[in-house]
Amino acid sequence: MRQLLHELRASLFLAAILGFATAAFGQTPLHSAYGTLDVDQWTEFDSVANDARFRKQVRAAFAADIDAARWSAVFSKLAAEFGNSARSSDPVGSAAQATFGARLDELAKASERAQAAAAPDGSIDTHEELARFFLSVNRAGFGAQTFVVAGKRAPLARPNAQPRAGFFLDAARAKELPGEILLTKYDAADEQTPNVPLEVAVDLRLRADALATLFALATAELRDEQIGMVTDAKAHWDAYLDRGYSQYPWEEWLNGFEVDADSLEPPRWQWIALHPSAAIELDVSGVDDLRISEALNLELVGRIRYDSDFEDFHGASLSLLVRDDIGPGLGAVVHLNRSFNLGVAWHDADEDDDWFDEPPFVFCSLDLFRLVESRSKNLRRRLRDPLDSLPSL
Amino acid sequence: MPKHILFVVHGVGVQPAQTTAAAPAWDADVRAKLDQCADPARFAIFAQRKFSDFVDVVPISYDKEFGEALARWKQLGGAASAAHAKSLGLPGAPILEALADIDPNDAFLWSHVADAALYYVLAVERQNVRVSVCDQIVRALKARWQPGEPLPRASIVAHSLGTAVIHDSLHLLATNKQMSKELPNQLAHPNWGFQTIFMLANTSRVLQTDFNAYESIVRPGPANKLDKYCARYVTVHHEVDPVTLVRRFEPKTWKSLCESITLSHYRDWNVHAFTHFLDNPQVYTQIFGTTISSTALTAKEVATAVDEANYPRFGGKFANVPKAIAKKNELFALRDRMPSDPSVLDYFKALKDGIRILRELRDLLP
Repeated sequence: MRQLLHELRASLFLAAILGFATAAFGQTPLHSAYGTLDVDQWTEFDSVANDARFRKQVRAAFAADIDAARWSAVFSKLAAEFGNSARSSDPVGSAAQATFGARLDELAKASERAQAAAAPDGSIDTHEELARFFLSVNRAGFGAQTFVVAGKRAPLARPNAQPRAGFFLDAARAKELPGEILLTKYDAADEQTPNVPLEVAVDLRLRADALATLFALATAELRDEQIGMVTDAKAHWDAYLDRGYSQYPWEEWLNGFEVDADSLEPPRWQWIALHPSAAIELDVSGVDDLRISEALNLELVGRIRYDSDFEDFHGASLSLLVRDDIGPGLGAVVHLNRSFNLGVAWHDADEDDDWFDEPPFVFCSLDLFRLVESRSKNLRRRLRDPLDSLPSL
Repeated sequence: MPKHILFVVHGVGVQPAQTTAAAPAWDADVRAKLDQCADPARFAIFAQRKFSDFVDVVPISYDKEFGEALARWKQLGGAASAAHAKSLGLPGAPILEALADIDPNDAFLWSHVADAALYYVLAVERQNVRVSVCDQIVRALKARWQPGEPLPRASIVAHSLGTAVIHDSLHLLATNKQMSKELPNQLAHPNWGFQTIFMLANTSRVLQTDFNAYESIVRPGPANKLDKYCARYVTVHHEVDPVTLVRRFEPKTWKSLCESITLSHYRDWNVHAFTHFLDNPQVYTQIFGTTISSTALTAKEVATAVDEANYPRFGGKFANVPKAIAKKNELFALRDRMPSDPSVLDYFKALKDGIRILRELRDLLP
């Protein structure tokens, strides 16, 4: 009697789904139940929301194990539960259930091995243990994507046929392969018809959906961590290019050799090569005659290193200082941080071919001049006036 | 449960990420084309809902990175530096002047050629673009998942330069050393992957740099294969698209796993355009079937859609081509009917008919 009531209830549930599908999509019930209808849309019916196989009910039933991260126990119990469920009398349906059951058993065994390796004390308590557990489970071929229903490409002989839905598919191949569960098959008109009884399709889809949900939940912490790696790397690239030491195209080409294509992060080191910038040079040869002059600082070659978050850097380079009033100067500049650099240069001011017989000039480069093109003229104008107004000391 | 995510990835050109008063966002045309193709008169699934009601179309934009690079160089070579260098007589002054003259919106060189050149030549820009694309993908995933639900399913439609960009970005996302340090990569198989990757005007070989397009992880395979990243891989090219005439993507070792479509339809002079590819039912029916469900369209609906009677080879700006060809054939038939020694009357009759046909042909041509 109880079995009869259960079957009656299941039939009413299926009839409700088919009826809803027909009304909502105007398609024949056959197509709707197998493909168009997502499990979530089934929640229109109370019987789905309360179905013990539906993801919310599964999560509630295993709440204690889930909260304690006893994932091996969860997967083992789900496998056992499926193993104890009724089998279809249809041979294809029964075979599909057997395939699904075998996968669940493999998952249970893989998770037991993973548990033993990751947390021998039987309890996954730390982030590292969780990572080791799922690394092992993943290497066995199980993850959230394993239980997602996919579409298998149609054979070339059926050019207009649509992909067939199923589980554990090698969707890239048209040919049916062992280990696949195909929920539909083609009729003579290349349309899809059920390959397994509807109740088997519904059963497998509900259980697979629940497993995919549990995997997504179990690995949320790991996934958030890795998403954070990507977003952090993006922030570092923005800092490197937008707020780092500016790079001319030839410098970007050169620094391309520092880029690790397998890494999300920008290069930690940056070459400077033939890098012109405006500079202010101070003649400190006499205490009573300090002169400040504009110069063009051509950093011939140099290297800088970024800090851990790429917000600051330091380095040094060899420089050539060019002015219109005296001969060029050779020297070096030290980039103390992104805001401040200081250099020294020796000019052959007396043109005796001895560059180092006079005191050096002190200078600093003004990379800021290039960051805001529209402001640069105003800034130079504003600096020139006070510079010019400085009395000779 | 979240909708199926369809990441759309643009190609070269000025591709604004946001709609402004000056221009719509680049994905507006793509969305409009997909909605247009989702014709309820032809596909019952769209009787009450549009394509965008079923699928979450997420644009992936990387044009900003190229624009910012050009803007940085323009500022670097800006008037201050170029003029200063020129006044000092430095030999490199013309280079700085050239940088100061960059105008990304001005010429085809800067708006189109520069994108592909920057990506191919400069590893710094290339890697920056890849990380930006990865960032957009993971943010979309994070925003669309709620605890208690499965992860959203996702597919990709990429075009032209976007195919090389997405290929490289996906390989980086799935295999980068940060996530491979004794950690299960949650963003690759068997934890996540893509249902179908559609590569329209596939340039992943043309612009191949760090990752071999035939040997990367961006290949179809089951979810339990850790060296694969999608269930299906569909590469589409147009028979006369010059961009894919050389180094066409045609894998030898996994040729049977790669679904290849050659298009021969003509609707516009720009056969390379993203929307020109999407216009063809061989493309959009596949997109519908993979993103909505495998039973969203019936085989009969698809057969009707791709039938040449319903989707002729020539249409749009080329709608008159079949008529022009018919006129040409009529002219040749007239020539062939002429006797070897025609009378004066035959001659003038043929001349009159020939001129009529030529005038009709002239009227057909734009």
